[in-house]
Amino acid sequence: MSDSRADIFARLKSALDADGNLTARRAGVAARLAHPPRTEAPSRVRNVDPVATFTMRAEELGVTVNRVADLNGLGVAVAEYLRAHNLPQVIRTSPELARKKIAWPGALTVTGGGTDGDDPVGVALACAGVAETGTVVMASGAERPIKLNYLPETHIVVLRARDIVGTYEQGLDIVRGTKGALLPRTINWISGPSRTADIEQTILVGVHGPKRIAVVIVDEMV
Amino acid sequence: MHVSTDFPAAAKQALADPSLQAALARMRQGFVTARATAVARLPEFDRLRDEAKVIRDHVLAHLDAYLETFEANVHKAGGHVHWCRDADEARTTVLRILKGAGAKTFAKGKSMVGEEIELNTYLEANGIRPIETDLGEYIIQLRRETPSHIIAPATHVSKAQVADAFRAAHTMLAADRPLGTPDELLTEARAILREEFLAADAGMTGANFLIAETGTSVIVTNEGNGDLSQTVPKIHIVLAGIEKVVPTLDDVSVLLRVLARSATGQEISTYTTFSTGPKRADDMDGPEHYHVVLLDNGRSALLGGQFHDMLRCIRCGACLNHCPVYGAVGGHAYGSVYPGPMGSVLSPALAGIEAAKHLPHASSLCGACEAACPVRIPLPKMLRAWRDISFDRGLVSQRSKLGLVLWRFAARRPALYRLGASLAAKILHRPRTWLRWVPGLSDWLATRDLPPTQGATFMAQWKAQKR
Repeated sequence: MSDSRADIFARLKSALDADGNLTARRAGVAARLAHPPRTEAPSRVRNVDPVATFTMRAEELGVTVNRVADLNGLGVAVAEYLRAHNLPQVIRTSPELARKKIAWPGALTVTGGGTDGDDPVGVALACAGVAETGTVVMASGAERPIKLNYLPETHIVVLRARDIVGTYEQGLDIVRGTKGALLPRTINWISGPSRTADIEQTILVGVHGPKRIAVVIVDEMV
Repeated sequence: MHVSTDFPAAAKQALADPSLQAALARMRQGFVTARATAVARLPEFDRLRDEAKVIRDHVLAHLDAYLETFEANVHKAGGHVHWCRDADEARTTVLRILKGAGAKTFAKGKSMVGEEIELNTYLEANGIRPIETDLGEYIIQLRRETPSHIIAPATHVSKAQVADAFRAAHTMLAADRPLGTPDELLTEARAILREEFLAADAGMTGANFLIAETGTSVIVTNEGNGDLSQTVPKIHIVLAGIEKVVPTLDDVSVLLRVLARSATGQEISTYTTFSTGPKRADDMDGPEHYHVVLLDNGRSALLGGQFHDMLRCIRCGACLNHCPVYGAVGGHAYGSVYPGPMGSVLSPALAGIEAAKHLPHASSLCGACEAACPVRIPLPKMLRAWRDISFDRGLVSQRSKLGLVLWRFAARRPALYRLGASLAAKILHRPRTWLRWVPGLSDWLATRDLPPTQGATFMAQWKAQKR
């Protein structure tokens, strides 16, 4: 296989050397990675309230958005949402959320942990919200199971108001932390419920991932 | 890559297929309208297209250096990179990884490179059961077909045909169950494929982008199937062409702003997923192994040549959606897994012009493809270049050759050309009725109407008006 690698690089080199050499190309790559250009933010997120724009765009995608003041409000909002959609008052939360002192209403059964597909409702904390398209940004980690974002039929995303930013680039800045650090294994941008148009161009919701998504924006998460 | 093309015969058949024609009418309406709406909602769209083009051009001009960087960063994240010169190497590489892990079932996200190398047939012959998990790909896998569209593989299939395929395949379910609505079909597919995801030994995705800066592969889906395919099984294999690399996360953000809008007309696809290496020691889930299989298969030969710009392609499908020829005959008529304008440029490059000689001619050169392309690929120019090559290699019919020779003879003699043109303009002048019969053009006009001429040539009218 190393022969294949050498062959492919030799082909690329001979095609590209007409216009320079590999040393110059490596320098070009290093220079751009050292100072990556960033495009101007789309006008729809300039000089606007990111929370209001996020809410509007997420609702366009069929996401239910609620805003609460604090962790007490979060518990009530989740229970209310489940009641309004005739769903069981049983939730699986990511361990990250399970650690937080959330005042869950007594009627709600709450278990922290990952999922293998038997949980009707998954609740997880987002890293960021992106206003330009109402997208939430999730990441994998020691307390962040990715399957919880996909296997339950209902996905409830908890999002801190201060983590809502204008653009994709700003959302990725929050996830990546320091430059050069390894990214989390998985970063998911989620924009509405799972959907398809593969049968006669009819838009159907809830293909493999969640059938419904709610976002609860929390102002103060202490 | 396999191209089985007798485009004229296949096109004739497609035009006479009422079920296909109904499907194509739905597709033309859906995608084109949705794109126009999405573009109107983003005033920066054209600026972003220019930036997307610049990013792709920059990568191609530094392709080997970016691939080295990508590879080093995949290694840093604990993943493996496999380099494959051709389809055969890519197939055997995937099989070797699967056999090495003792895998028998293989959950696959949608991958056009997988179609290009005909991976499923090969794996089946070698004791692996591939399961397509994108609903459209699953439907065509059951029907044992190739995709007819690069982003909507089952766009040619009616819901009655989907129901037939499900009844034939899912024999464990009651034979008389209702499957008349798209919802019923979806519920059944969700249940069947959910079991497959949870049990699969290995998973695969394609890649919309590979990020050099971080060693990351990116996929864009609406269903979430690519996410389950790469999160539940122990092994994640990424299959991608070597041209897919981009410099940074910021660059991907620019490309993503034009990708979904150009493709389905969504502002963004439901799921955009960035995958970097295998799961970390303390991660709660994710694959234990991460392999990137990179395929050349003729791509490096395009670099720096007259089809170089084709390597900018981000596989959005806008050129298919806007092409009047694709819209009339659908994808299968092209006989290649890459149909439409992008396919008619790419297929001859990957499979040889001899095998794909009809494809550069399967276009009216109207320019709708280039006008819709998010990375501004000059598709009509490249189709003309393929026509030149096929003429030079004697791959056009005797009649076309004779016609071109006669036209060249006249075009080099302006006086003669003008005389001929003014005669034709007079003969073909018939107010307000379309022409259906012209000597020597009867088969051309069997499926086309020729507008009548104004009676005098442009040159003659220009002279008359100047006076």
